[in-house]
Amino acid sequence: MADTESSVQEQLALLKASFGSNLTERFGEIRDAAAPLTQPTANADETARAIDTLQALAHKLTGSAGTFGFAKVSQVARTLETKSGELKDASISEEDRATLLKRVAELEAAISESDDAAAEDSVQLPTASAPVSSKDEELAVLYLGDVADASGMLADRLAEFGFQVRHVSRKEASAVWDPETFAVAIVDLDSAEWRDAPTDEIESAARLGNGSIAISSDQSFDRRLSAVRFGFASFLPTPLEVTAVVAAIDRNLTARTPDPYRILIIDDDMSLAKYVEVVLGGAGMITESITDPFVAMDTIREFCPELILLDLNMPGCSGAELASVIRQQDSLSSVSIVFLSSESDPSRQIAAMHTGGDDFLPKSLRAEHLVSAVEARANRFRQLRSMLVSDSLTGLLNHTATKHQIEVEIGRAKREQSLFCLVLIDIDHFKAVNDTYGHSCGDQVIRSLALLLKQRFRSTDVIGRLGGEEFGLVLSGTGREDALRIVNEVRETFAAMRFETDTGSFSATFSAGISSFPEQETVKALSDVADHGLYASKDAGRNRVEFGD
Amino acid sequence: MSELNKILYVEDEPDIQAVARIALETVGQFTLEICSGGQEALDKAADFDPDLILLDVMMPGLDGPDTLLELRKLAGFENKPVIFMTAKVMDSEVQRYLDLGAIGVIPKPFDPMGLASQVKSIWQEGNG
Repeated sequence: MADTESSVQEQLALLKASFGSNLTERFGEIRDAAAPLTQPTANADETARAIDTLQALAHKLTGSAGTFGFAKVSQVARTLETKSGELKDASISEEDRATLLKRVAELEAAISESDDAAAEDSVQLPTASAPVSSKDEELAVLYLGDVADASGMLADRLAEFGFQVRHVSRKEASAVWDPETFAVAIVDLDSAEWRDAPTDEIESAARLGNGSIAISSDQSFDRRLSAVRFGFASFLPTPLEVTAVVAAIDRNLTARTPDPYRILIIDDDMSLAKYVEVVLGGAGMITESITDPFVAMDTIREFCPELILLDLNMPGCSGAELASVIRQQDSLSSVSIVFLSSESDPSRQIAAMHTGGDDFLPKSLRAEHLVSAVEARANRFRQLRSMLVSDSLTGLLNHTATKHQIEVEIGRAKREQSLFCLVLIDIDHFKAVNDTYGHSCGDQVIRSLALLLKQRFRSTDVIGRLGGEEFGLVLSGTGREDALRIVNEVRETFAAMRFETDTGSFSATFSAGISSFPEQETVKALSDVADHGLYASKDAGRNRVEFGD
Repeated sequence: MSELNKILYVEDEPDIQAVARIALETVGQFTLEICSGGQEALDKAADFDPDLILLDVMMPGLDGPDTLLELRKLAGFENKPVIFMTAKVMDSEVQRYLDLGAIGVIPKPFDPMGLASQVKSIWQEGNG
């Protein structure tokens, strides 16, 4: 019950914040309604209509502002309501007119005061934000094992991916752990310290953070099973392959901060749309709601929802029709559509599914059921889509998904008047690597670069493998000089990496080309110009980064 | 005495609707149907068959009292319990609403955490 109450309080706080952020807009309506009162030429009819509207708007605001705890606004709105009520159907004097306008001005002042107060309020609507530079949080890896063993080699290799390795003894392990400092802990089950450690100590080491990585040369089923039972998140055989370690760390970090689900609600009943938004927003999802199906396509393109909750019965354009329109567009074929309906007739539900909907939810769901129902569906669709959009070797976005993301970024940058850069990267002489060391070594080079890019760029940047040895990056909110600097840093790091093979070690380099928005405004122009840059880098001797022209 | 389960709530302001939904559905665990105006309430009333009707007084088009008068003409709604919600709570007005046949008046702004129990206690008194 205490849980229900705190979640209700949270939902109310979100509603309050949302109401507060719209107060200025609401005042706009009142100001517009009062406009005829400022015109000496307004006739009696116009004046009377203005006063009627003022009274109705002030009345609404009195009630709603009070309910949301904006006591001062409610109180001032009430004086405006009362005054308008008194003057209704009366012939009004200059003085009355001035009094009304004064009340309107007082209301504006009360609203702007409440704005300032709200700014200090801790309640915030959920928003997504990201720092503008390259990845700023450098996390370390906690190594639990014999220092002389793998950690020396591991430290050098992990440093290339931006992870510092810290080694501590068994006794210190739990005390030293801090999720702000460490990405993950690695426990060497073969080491002298941990080989014969008591079960409870291994268990607590296994469960640090999101679960630690166990390493051992013993790959038997028994060994792996015991690692699972201790509570480890991953198991890696020794000798360690550094890309496997980085991939395990990457998985661990992704699990730590899953991106919030993006949910669009389309329902002509604004209160229901808002309610669903508040409930889902309270559960950490990013939501947007619209009540007019005719503007849906623009919103979908801009907001990029993962899941659309769609009312089945809307005037003008039914949910089923809208689902069909959405499905007509290839780029939106992977958005999941869940109908919200009070429809209880199964045959009509099934008919609606044929238009491209994926599932049904009854409108009468209670808040906690709504959250888990949406979460479960969004999660399943995210997994399905990740198979559709990702490249199987690297887990990065594939060619099609990357191109789509460039389009999305163009839309966002236009809307927010921001900038971004497109970077095309191509590994130098890659055919020679494959020919000399074999395809599995080639794959290792590609995987290493993919992991390096993932470690060095923000989760909000788009990182894709365009095919073969070519990669594409979309660096949002990043200007040309910043992009050049960051890509050059990564280029140097990559060039310094050593790849081990049976016939010796080697290193690889890449060349890159950069284009930028708003200098180029279309996917084609951005790609062409970045391509020119890439060719310029290759022509100038490779292992370089150039702007295209 | 039957149990209070289904409430028809008539209110034109979307923000208040959203709060009332939390107050009555999540907190109060009632089954709720929300209408944005008197006419919509008249259209939906028979199908939804509520145990209780919550009516905002001041609404564009049919206001609360007019809606009540029209509702009374529907079969089965002759004696349906109605509660008014209003920001005007002068005694004379409260009396007028009660004279119209309402079982109670809830002043606005209402407390979201307390609305359900307020409704319940008026229901119990009116139906006791």
